[in-house]
Amino acid sequence: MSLREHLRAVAEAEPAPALPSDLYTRARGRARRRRLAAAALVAVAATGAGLTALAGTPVTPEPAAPELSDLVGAGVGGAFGWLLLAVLLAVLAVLWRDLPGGSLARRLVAVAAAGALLVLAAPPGVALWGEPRGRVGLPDRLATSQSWWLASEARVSPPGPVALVFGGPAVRGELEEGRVVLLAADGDRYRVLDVFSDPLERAPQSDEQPIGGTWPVLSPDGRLLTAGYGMFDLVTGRQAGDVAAPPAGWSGDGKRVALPVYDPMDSHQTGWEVWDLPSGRMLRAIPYEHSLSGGTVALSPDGSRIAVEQGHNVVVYPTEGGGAAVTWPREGWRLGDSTAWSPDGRRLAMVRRGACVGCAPTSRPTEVRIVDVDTWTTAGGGSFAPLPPDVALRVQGWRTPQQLVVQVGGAVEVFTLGVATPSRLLTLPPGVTEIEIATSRLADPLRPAEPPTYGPPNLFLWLVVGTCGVPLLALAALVWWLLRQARRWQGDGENADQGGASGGDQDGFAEQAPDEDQS
Amino acid sequence: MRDDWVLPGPEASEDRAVRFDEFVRARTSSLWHAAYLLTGDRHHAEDLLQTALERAAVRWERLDRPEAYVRKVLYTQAVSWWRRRQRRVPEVLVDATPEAPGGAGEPEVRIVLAQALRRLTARQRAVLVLRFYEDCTEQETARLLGVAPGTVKSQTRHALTRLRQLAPELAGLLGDSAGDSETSGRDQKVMTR
Repeated sequence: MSLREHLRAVAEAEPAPALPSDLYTRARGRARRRRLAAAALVAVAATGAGLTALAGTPVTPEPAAPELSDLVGAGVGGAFGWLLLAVLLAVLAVLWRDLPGGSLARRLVAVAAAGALLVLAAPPGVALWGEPRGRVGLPDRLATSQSWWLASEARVSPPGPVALVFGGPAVRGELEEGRVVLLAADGDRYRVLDVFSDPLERAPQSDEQPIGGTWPVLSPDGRLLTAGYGMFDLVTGRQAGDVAAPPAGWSGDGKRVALPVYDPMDSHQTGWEVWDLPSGRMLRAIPYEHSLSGGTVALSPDGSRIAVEQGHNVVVYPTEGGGAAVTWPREGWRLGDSTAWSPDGRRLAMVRRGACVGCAPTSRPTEVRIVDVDTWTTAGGGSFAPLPPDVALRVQGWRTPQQLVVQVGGAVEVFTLGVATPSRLLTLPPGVTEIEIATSRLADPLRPAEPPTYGPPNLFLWLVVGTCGVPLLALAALVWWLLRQARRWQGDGENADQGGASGGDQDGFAEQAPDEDQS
Repeated sequence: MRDDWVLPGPEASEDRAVRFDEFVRARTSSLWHAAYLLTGDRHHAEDLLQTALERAAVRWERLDRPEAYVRKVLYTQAVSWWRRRQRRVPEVLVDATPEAPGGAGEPEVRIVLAQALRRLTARQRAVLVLRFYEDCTEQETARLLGVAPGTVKSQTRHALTRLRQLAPELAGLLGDSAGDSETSGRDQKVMTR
């Protein structure tokens, strides 16, 4: 016999199986379902790509961002996450291609749904449930979250331009490092920013000037935040760059900044420099008469003048042209922080702090007054009732040319020209001791606060979910497996009792069926 | 290669399912033999045959020669990397080679041949089945498997060599076929012409 005949004999020794009578219908139905699953897969991938493309459009620092951008984010929660999901679905579709169509479609849809949830909610992304946007204005109260641990970090989920930033023991908790809370300018979206030291606590103090003012943390438009020696862009969440020294004053239009200059030998401040940001050039250098630290500086709203504390005087310089300076005596008063200039450029806020918070109390009260820049006299109606001596005082800026906004202890007050006692703008939650409102947001109307949102689940929450959820899932899987095994043993026992074998592969051929065509 | 079932005509499109069932009833036995030789395992052969028939069912209205299509699917799927990875029968290694039975009769030869075939690679098995069972020429085999004719030659040579190593008692049988491996079956007819 030849090899061919032997091969034929080998093949014919095995009887052919019987085929299911509805093979044609089943095969076509299965193919139809696979096509549907593939179409769903393509739809998921296309949707992800489309959303990613939309998210990739340049983000403008406008208060109202597109609602669609709530659905996508960057990193794992964005394009990369959708790509991973599409690849996973494609691989699973290949691996499971021999499954019945219905089962394949169910599995793929389940994986796609679970994966889409993970991508949408995964950090760094944006909250799945959406967040309030387009509601411009200062809220009439701030969130009093008992724990800010579950809030997203601003670098992971940037809030966009912010209206204010606040800090204090209630925010820091047991942390020794710094932590501040950010509130978006167009909705009750809160984020936290963890930094090495609390930027709101930074105040220029020295032996010469123990009760100094405060330095700004936010740029006037609320987009940039200075913490340590880093400047963060709150729209992108990225560090905008290192700064040799954080700006000590911004012009109201945000185009000019005043930077301190330090002696590299002893780190004492030797003066100031005024820089024009659009052109990137230095406009004026203002040296101190003798090296010291702790001075306060304030740029006029248009950046054309700068008021500088020089020893016992306040000196007003033009920032361009090298013109002559005007010197006025301080007489124990300090510049009302870097936001002292009124929007019309005619007045300056001056403060006299009785003591720094936590320092030994004195009987000298804390006071606020408003002076005319040109005459250095108290502006009409610019004197106000004395405040408690040890209250924290932080000038926020001007709401209108007649209204000065100041943090006084645990509240934000409005000092109106001609009204001796301030009116309450905002009450700070317990444990919040510092607040800074972006100066461009001070004129915004007050609006009712809405339920706050804290961004997408952060890493801490995922750790909690993983720590608690994985054992639960493992337990559920174990119970399911045991039940399945029990059912299988029960079924085997019943079959054995009936004295017959099982019916064979339901998805394939019946076993050992006679071959009708064999001859 | 046998391809003796063609669609009866355009009127068959009126009831494709019936025509498909007729095709399956008529050709299952022949297709099954090829599938079994290609896999060497009943369950895998059933799976392979069902896959091929399902593909034919999906494309039924576009197939002029359905049997040729099913056979093509059988052979390409048999050597498919994915299918091979999933369906490969794990080999059991033993310390000593089994003793060759003395004076093997034809039933014993078939058993030894079947066992040896299972230990070839999927591609070697496919080449042997196409060349010595389906009686395909080298060109037809190469076209069906999507490889070069030279590859078919070398694979055939390697397959026969491997069979001789695995089952020396088949030497006589394979010795006849060895010459055929170079110019076997219809190749000889082509050369004669």
